[in-house]
Amino acid sequence: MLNYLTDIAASASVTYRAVDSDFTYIYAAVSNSTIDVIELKTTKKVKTISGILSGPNTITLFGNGASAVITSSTTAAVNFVDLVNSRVVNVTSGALATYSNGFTSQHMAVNQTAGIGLSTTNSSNTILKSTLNTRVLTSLTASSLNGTPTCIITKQSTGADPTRWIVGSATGRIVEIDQNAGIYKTISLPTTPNSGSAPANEAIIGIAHYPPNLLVTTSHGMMHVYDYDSASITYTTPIRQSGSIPYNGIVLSNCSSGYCIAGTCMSASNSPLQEIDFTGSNPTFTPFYNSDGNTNSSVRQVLVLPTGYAIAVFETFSFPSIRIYKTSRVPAQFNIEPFELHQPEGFRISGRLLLIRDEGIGQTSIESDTSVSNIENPIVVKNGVKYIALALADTETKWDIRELLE
Amino acid sequence: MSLTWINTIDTTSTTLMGAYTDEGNNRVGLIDQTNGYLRQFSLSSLTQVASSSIGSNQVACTLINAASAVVGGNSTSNFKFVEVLTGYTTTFTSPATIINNAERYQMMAADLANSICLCISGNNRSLTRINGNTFSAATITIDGNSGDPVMCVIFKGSGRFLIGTGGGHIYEIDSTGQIFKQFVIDRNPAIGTQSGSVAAKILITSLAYQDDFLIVGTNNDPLVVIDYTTGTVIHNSPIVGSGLTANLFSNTASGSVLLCRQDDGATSTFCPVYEMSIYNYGFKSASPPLYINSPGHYTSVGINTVTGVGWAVQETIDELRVFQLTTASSVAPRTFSSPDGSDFRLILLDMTDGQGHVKRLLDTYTTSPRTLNWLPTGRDIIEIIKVGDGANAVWDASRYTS
Repeated sequence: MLNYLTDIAASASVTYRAVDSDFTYIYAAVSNSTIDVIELKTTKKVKTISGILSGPNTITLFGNGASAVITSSTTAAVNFVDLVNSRVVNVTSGALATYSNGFTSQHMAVNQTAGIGLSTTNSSNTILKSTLNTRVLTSLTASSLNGTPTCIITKQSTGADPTRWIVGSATGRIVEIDQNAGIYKTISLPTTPNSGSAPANEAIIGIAHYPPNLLVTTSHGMMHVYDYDSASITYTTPIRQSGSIPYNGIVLSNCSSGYCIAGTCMSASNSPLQEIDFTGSNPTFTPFYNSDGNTNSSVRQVLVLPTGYAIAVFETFSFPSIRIYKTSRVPAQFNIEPFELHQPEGFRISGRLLLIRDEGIGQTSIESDTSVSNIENPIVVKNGVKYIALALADTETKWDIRELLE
Repeated sequence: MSLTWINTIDTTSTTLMGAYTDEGNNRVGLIDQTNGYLRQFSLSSLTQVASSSIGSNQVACTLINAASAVVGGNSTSNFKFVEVLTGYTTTFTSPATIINNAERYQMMAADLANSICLCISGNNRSLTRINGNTFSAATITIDGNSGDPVMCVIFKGSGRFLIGTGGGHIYEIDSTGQIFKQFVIDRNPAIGTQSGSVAAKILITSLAYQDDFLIVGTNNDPLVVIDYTTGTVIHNSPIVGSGLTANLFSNTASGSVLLCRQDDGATSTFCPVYEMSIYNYGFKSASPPLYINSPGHYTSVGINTVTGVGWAVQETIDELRVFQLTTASSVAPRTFSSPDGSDFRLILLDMTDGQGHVKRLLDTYTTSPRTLNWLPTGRDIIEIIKVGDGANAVWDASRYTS
């Protein structure tokens, strides 16, 4: 659950456009071509870096937080910023502006290990590659997109493919690529059933990936969960009215351990941020309402930190531009709990263990369904969440049910 | 389950307002505001079978009994009875009710067995009670006549109606306005509180009810499903926007309801219709949504519960869209109870598809005993019952084929 902490107001007549954080400082790209460096603990601005490109819409740290790369939706340039010495290198050779239709997020994704950032563009089938250590920009062609790339994330590594990206397009394609735009998977949004003609131009607005699931939001107001390997939809729900970007997007935060936060990129008084956990059999949703009248504004970006903070950037014309929350979810941190399947008590037996994430009545999800042996079995659970553990003996005529408190 | 496209009927009207299902005659009646007609279309032949002149500015209609429909307007202070088979029309002017139809869809609802219809005025807590036996009408008020306006009304059954207000309230009432139950939808957790003008509050725009589950559509806020026996919210839709995003529900059929999300009025050309099922793993879309190839606000959507034929109309589109709902599996009622008769949490898991493919069928908090009428049959079910909470909670589980 989100808990509101504080707001950070931008200076008069400017707005924050994008943020990243090294967990100590927030680095915020500002509409007046500066970077505000803000101490997260005190929310005090400690430094301003001037001279970045106009219209910034992403800022991503790299080099262990010593540097940042910045893209723009209005300027065909990429900035490489030395955050320690406040130096900005503006690269225009080979540069392209990022996709610019509305307040969508996820315009650049950096693979820190490879030192490569890929970003969206306004050109059909075209991805911009930024090689961070050499500051070389290269246009890549990914024809499977079948249109303009609208959003891009790094794929959660499964070991064999540590340097892959997942790209969404304005024509409803989801494409997995490598740093040279090699195509590894293509998924198309469903177009049936329909009233005689297939829907066109349903854009991908947001993507989150946590194996085996892929969460997708679209411009027709839908949210799908895919089983990514089989490219089959396992969950569909309406989330907004039907329409088209920039009016109807759902901005998704970065994702960790199947957890992300969604915000609406349309002016929306009282529209909640939604914590989404899309692991397991069905996603669970926990809303937080910004009902104080100060956030009648689009959400540009939400950033989740593994230290338990969430940072939302609002497209405001006054205040606040950045809102900080504490989340009880601490992504990517796990407890290991022993579990013994025994029936009757004292006799351990082999069987099947269903781990049901319990986020309240109506908010349960089968997070795992595994076979367990007759020795002590460790299980993985998430912090801040209750579980119901249901064990079934091999014969499945005996069972044991327990509640694991958060 | 699935939605299958059947066809489109050209209504020749550029402004379509309220509509209703006439299950007995397998028809849809709808208001052609452009030409001032109540038009009736057959859901089997997909042709117009009757039309009646009803004058201008009519916005709401419903069948009030097997023989007659009622029509009301947003600028004319009169109601009309229309005999559905002959088209004969009668007008009455008292009380002088004008319907405010702004952001309002379910404006009329009828108890067909008793020939009683309730109609919102839309500006206060009053409704017009129309009596189809005496061809008369009277004004009733709910919880005082001031406060947030009544936004929508549906018939619950057994002489009871459900109404939603512009302040997040839902009331169960009888046709005299007596209140039997009420809920409030609020925003929680939140920073700040809803306050000020109506626009700043939760607008209940649409309701659907079946099997003691209440489905609540809102304008600026999420869609909510409530276990009606205990008032427990068991589902919150992920997220919504503002302005034109009002949810519009059909009547319910076999545990499903059709949901139309309004389009943004900008550049959209496809406005999906969703079939949402209470018994489908967290009120998710029961089947792929049906993409309707036209932009525009839906003003009415319905299901003929006998034939499973669904229909929808959009305000500025001259077409009646017809489609079929199909249920893949059979259903049967089943009764659940707690050991001591106290309220309990009920979780149903569908184990049919094997290890790694377990699905949550239902997770609710209910009174005991509780009968669910639309559970799918032939499924491998694990039933979990929890009574109490914390360290003193008592758990029970059983497994069976439904």
